[in-house]
Amino acid sequence: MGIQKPKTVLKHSLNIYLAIIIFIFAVIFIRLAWLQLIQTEIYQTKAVSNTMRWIPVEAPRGEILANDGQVLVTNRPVFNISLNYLGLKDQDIDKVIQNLVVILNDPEITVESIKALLKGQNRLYEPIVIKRDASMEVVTAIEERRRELPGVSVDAHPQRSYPFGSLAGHLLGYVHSIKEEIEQPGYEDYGMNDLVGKIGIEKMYEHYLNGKKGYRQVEVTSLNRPVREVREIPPIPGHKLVLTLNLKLQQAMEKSFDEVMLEVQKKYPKAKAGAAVLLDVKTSKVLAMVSRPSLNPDDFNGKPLSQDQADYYFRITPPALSNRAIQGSYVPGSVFKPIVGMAALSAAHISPTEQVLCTGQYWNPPRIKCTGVHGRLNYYQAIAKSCNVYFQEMARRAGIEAIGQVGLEFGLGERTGIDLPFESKGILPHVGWQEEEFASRRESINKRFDNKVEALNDEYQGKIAAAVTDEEKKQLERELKNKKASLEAQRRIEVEFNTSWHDFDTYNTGIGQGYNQYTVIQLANYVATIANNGQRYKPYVVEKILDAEGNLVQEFFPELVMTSSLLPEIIEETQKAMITTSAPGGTAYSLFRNFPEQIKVAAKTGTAQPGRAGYVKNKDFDGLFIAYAPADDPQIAFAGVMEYGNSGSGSIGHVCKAVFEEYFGLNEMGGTGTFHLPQSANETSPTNAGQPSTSESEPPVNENQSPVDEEQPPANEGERPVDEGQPPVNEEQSPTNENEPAVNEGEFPTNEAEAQLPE
Amino acid sequence: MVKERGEAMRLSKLIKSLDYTLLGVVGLILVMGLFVLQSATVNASVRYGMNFVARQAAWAVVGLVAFFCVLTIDYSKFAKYGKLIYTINILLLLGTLILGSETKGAQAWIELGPFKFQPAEVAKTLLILGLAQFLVPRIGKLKTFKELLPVFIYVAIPLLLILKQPDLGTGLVYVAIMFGMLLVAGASPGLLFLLVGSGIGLIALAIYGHFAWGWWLPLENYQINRLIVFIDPMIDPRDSGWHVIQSQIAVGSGGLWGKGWGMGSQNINDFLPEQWTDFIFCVLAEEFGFVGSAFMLLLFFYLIYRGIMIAREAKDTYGALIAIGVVSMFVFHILQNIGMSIGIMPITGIPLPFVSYGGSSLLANMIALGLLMNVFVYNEDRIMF
Repeated sequence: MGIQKPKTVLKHSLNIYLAIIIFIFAVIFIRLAWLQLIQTEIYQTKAVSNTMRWIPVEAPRGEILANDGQVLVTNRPVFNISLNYLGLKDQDIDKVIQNLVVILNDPEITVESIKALLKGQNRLYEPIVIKRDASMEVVTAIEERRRELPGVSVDAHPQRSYPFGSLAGHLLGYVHSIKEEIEQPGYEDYGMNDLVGKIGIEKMYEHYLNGKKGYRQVEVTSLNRPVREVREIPPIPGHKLVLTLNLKLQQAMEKSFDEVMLEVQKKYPKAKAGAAVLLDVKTSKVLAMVSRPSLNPDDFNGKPLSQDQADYYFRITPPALSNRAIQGSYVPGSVFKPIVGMAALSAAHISPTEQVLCTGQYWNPPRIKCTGVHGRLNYYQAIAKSCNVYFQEMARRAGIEAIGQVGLEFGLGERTGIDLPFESKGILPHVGWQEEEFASRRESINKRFDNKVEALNDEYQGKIAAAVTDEEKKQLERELKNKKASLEAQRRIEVEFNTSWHDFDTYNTGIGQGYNQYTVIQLANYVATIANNGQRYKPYVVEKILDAEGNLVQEFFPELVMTSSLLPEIIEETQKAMITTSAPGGTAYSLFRNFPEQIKVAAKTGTAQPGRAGYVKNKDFDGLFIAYAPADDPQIAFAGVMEYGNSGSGSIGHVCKAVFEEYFGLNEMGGTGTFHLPQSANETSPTNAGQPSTSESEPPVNENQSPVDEEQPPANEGERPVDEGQPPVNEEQSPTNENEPAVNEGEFPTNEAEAQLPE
Repeated sequence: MVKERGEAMRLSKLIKSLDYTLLGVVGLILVMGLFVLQSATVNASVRYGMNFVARQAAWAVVGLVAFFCVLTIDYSKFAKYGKLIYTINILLLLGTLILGSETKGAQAWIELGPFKFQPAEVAKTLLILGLAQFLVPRIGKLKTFKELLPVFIYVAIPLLLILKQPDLGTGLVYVAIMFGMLLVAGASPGLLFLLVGSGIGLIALAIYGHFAWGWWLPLENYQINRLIVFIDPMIDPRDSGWHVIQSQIAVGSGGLWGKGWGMGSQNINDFLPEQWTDFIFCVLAEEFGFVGSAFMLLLFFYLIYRGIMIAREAKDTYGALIAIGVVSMFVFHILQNIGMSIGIMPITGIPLPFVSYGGSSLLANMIALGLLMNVFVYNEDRIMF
């Protein structure tokens, strides 16, 4: 019937069939074992990275405290209202959003706008910020209605806050969005949205202040929808910094700087910028540091600047961004003279009592004029009256090498190494600097002449080619040769002149003009070094680093950089001379004359032709001032500059006075008189009752605005100290007095350009 | 009365003579499948608001009934209706094309009241029955291509209707069934290998030509991508490639013991596409590890092995060919489904028998199992009616 046993052929093919089946199952089995037994770790890692998301939690940035513990920079909690999918997933989202909109009561936040936000967010495991910096009322309302608002969270997010506003703004610095830093070593842990310190302490100590981000680990679905929070690694708050800064002194310095500048502006409207530094003499701790125009770190603080702010900080002159105390290089003028004096005393073995005759003008070309006719004066008088003739002569005798040597020992022309970013080096025209400078000048002169020669060649190539006759051609070739020779001669002269140090360079250096340029911090440290008998410390701003709980992490101690090789007597004589400056007859007498006897101030005033872009020759002068006190037991040292302040004692000197008064507690007793800029020398001349000299006065602003320094008007020679038998120095070289004394001269001869290129 | 008693006796005899090991193995696969399904539909059950496991269990019961229905009729009685079965098959597929509702781009469903039903699943069993009858007189006469050609034409007609839906996966099942049955029917294995090989080669050439020279292919781009991403998932890392990558991560990360029932992160967090149907093996492998997946594979192997043994012991070549048709269908489903989960086969939407969620599929598989059991039971060595 239909019943039929399977044939053998069927059996045979079934065996082949079975073999194929076994092969197929073996392949599957082996592949499974490969994936699940051998490669499983790779896939386990992939599975975890698939589903685990790390959400960064910001670490609060460390606080910055003044020396007495007053908080200068802290963090303000800014409340952000967010919707969190973790809490929302099973709730009625629409209702929550509706409730939230009612509470926020913000015309810009509607149900639609929130829904648009939710739609646009593809990382649903991260809280979606609905409102930033919400008011306390809103925060409270949300907290009260928690039950109706599942998934809504109020996150306090730390933001930099400055209780004292712009106080010490340049020094503290500001934070802003990370940019080029992210490529730099040390910034590996930073994200694209992080804020970092950009200037000042915020930048210098970024890695201490920043702390360490925390993380929340969240498990998500393939659509980035959060499922649960796996774990939380709390952030580590940044370290606190305790500064060397003294809040009261800083406040006094800023207040008086602003007042004095405002007063000076009445007469000299260009006086809008400057800087001052107060150091602790024994340690070079920075007690106060001011730069003007002021900077308010809160203007930056991670926000974009407004147009006005951007102009103020970057565009208008003077731009406010720069910390002029460490970044500005200033022509020092007469405050440099103690360096010259010490160099002469040391290298030329000058006795401080040796006299030089000042006839109102130096006898060596370019015959730079003095601020007065001082007659014979010794070292003390020359410092006190800031005699230009004396110090030109001292510079000549000491030589530029010795001046450079002393300048270096007192830290000029080198970065002080203060713990602030972007410190300038300044310029000390010592031999090492000269070599570099001359080499670069030689290069630029050669380049200029090479171009000229090339242009000449080109010109004549064309002419020669166009020439018709041989005669013409030869004529042109001769012309070219002559012109080239003439250019080469010019080149030789220019190179020779510009790449050698001239005597008049030394004279200019001697009175703090010429190439000299220093930062205020250098000047302050240099005064402190004089006060400290030649021991120079490295200035510093941060005293201690504490962790968030207040445990000491690191402490900074004074660092002796160098002890001057000068004989102690030489520094002592200079100290004496600087005390003379604030004694009757000295240029700083009027400032400190009401100071008590036991607090003597050693000082040096300076008036400098700044040579910066925008200054008007013989009209605009920077005022500089250096001082320390008390003279017999120095504690604090001051240096400052007021751009276009016209004179040191008439401008920045008053800031020094105010800070010294604050330090010594003198203003508590009614102070030593408030500052008003003299309208003219006569009006404001103090009554000289009881004073041995008749010639002390406020810095005279004299009639024709001639750039007298704080120096005295022509001295009354009869009242000068006796010359102690010293013969007048260099009498044979005394200048013939064909010129009027410098005081009333329209031309002020220390002008660099003129001095360097004499007829 | 007598007739009824006779019927009852016949039924009890029938039940006694079943292959209970095979049934037990399939039951085990089914139960394991339900457990995996429970885990695979944790999210989907909320999303779609339905209990997949209960539905699947209900379908299993329906399937069991169908299984017994198939058992009641001796398969040899189907032999003479070969042409009718073939005609019904064609009509069914035509009806689907005309009346069917479209789901996910394929016109593969017919709605019967509340039930949606995929005729192509049942059509597979109809094809087996028809083809077996078609092949019996040709046994031993399938040595040349010319002799094979009528068989190809026989299969090609329903195959084209399936591809028209379009359902590439089921189409491939037809081809697999055909080659399996041809092999056992005594076609030259060398010739078959040559045909399969050149077929794959032609497809590869066609796909290459499509991309290189813009050849026209009767497939959508996404289908072509699915065919080739298993070679390099980066061809299309967001869509088809994503599935290849994520399924292998799921399997591989399961390790030896697995992450535990309901603990597979790839599954729970929806990194697997439709993990209750096509990628359900990934859920098994992720949560029960190598131990679980290898055990499941072993169960499947036993099912297949028993199927081959049933074919060997069948009372006639017709029965043997039916058994081999069913076995070939199962094998291809297993190979294709597990293969795509572990990255050795292209991605085609083919369910894993008795495990993947889907009523039509489960029903069809129970019917197929019924056919297999039928061949086993209606064997003169075992039962005499």
